[in-house]
Amino acid sequence: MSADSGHPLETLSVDLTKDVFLRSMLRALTGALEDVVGLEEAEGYISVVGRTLGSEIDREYRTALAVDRLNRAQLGQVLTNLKARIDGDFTIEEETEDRIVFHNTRCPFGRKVENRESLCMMTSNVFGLIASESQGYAKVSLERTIARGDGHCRVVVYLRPGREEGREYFRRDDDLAC
Amino acid sequence: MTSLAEAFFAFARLERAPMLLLDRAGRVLARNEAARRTIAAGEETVLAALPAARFLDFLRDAASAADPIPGRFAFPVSAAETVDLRCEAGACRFGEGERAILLRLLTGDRDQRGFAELKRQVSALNAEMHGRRESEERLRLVIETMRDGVVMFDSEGVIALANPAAAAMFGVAPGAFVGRTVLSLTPIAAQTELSEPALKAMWLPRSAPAGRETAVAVREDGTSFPLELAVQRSTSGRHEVFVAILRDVGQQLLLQEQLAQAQKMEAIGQLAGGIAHDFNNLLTVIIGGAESLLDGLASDTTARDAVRSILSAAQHGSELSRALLAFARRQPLKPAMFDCASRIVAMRDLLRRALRADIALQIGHGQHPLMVRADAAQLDAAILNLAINAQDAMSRGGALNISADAVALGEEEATAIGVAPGPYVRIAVADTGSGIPAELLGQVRQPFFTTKGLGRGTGLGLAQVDGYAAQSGGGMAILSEEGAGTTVELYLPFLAAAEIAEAVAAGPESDLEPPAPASVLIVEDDPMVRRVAVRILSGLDCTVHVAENGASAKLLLDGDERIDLVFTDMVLPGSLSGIDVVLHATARRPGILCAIASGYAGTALSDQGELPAEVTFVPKPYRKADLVRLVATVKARLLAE
Repeated sequence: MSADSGHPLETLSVDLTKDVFLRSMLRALTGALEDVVGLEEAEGYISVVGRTLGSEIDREYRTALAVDRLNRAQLGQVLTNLKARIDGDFTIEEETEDRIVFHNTRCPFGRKVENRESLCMMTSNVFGLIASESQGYAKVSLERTIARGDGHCRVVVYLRPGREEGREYFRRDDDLAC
Repeated sequence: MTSLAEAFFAFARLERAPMLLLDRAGRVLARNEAARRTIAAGEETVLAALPAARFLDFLRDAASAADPIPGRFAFPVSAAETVDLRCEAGACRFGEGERAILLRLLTGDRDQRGFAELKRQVSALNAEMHGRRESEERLRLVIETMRDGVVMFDSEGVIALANPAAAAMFGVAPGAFVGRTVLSLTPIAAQTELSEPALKAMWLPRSAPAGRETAVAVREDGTSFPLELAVQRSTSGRHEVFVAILRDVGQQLLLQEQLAQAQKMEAIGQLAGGIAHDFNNLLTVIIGGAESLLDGLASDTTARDAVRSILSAAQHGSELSRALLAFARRQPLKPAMFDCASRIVAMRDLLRRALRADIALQIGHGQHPLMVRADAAQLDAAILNLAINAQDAMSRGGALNISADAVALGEEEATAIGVAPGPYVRIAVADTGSGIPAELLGQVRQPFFTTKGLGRGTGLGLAQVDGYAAQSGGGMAILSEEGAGTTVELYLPFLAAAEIAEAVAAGPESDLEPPAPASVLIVEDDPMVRRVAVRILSGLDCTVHVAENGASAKLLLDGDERIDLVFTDMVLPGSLSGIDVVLHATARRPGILCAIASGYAGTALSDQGELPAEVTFVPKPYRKADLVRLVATVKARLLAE
């Protein structure tokens, strides 16, 4: 179990852990996707993944909190907490009745997120799904992102329809019929 | 959904990929030609993609997601066969809670793009729908604020939409209109000129565009009105729709009738005025001749009686002529400022004597004085006239109430009465008699119209009162209901305080002085009238000069003859009128006295030109006493000088 150098491999400084491996794989996958089908298409697929994960995370928190639906006060806390659990550094910069503004200095994907803007669809969809399930409506605006090279993220979650730019999400329970 | 489907077809029609517009339960709202060829799912059916539960979940996800999402399901290509196809779905949101799913099937066509393209199509559809919604909103605003009624209905005539004007026209709430049939708005039983098939064809025309039609419409309260409608047939999707513009033309027809009536009355008025004018000339001759005869028949009783009969008949003719001129609004009036309140109170004894004992008379007034400028004697005559009419309407007795008060007429009330808005004195003569049937109410102002028996009325009474009021700058209104009595209201302009003060400052007219010798220029084209005037004035110790027309009069006035009074007819042959003669006289001989004889009133005279204020007006037919009074004024001036 040793390499030719005589040093045991376990002691070698190789940046490879399960976490690094998974993040690298994700980076390679999204890179391949963006290169092959383009950024917009890639965002679409990541969004589908983001919605699925968002739905699962939402269910986890609701079960843990023993509520059918997150209330307004719980919403901001859940969104920062879920990011903290996956090694993000999201804090609430501003919170009003109509919106919550998040500030982030560390991406859960680490440096693997750089130039992989489609991965930000994970945040948009997870935040959008959880917020819309809680409040009925959400619009997520990714104003600044580490992926784009802004150095930090500024994510605004609007809770009422308005003229702001962003992706809109609606509570699924409301969608039983036209 | 119709406009959403139209927006969908606008871009999906030529799209090569099969595209469908679904609601969130999977019902097909619209599909393009490629979808029609590819899968078995017609409009209004639920798309039976499998597995069904997951497909429904997929649609709900698509409806709530920000971006289009991909999926893969087994889609029906026939009743028994399905085929696995990839698909993408995006939500179109076009209003409060309104969403539809744009579904695109990926059939392996190389030209097909990914769902980023679908996202753009969803955005385009959303933008199209927003545009259409805004356009619809603008259109809705236009329709809702239209003064004409608008109703939309189907081929069965069932109303689907009605604007507030349409609902108000029929006296129902806008919502209550929906669901009714248009044919119920114009029931066949109410029609006088339309058969049932014609009525149906009018509402539901088979050819478009239809012209304007008229039918009798019935309001919710049962009253009817003439309805003009223009119906347009159209299609909305696969359905036939009709849009009708409705207009209540009752008011318009009423105005047309009023205009025609006014024109008729104007024509009759001109005719009556013209006849009365010529008649006056004849009467002047008859009266003048008869009075001269009377002077020379001191002892012959039989002959004097005959001449008196002639004078009496001529006087009666003069009254008839005066009534005709009143109707024609050309009666000679002597306007003066007076208080209506005290005037009507002063009529109590006269009215009490004139009315039967079973008529309870009440006279009253609100504020006083109620100052007007009008012919007070004519007001007395008008009130007497109305009182007699009221008595005739109360054959078994009743109450007659005469009142005066001040009112301010607004635009609408004033228009209804036919006067300008402003302050008026209203003199109301109200009875408790039989009233006037609605169908006769429009005719009672007409001359010679009477409901009284033969020989009991001339039919000029109300026409005369109406004419007097109009000529005095006011109007008349008749309020009546069969069995509930009649109120006739006379409106005379209420004098403002400033006008009263001005009139008071001018002071009363000076009394007449006894006659003294005078020189008179008579200008009259009618030889018979001229002879009468010459005879009377000569008999009054006047030197008389005669001119047959304005030009001859001017020559005389330009000469050296002494002339103290110019007495001219108003209407003269040639280019110069009596006013021209007067103006020439006063220009050449400042201070000269002038008098104008005419059967027309002062206001009618003013149509001929500006009448100098100091000119005396002598109404035709004139009597000797009128000329005695005139000459007395001249002689009084001569004495003073």
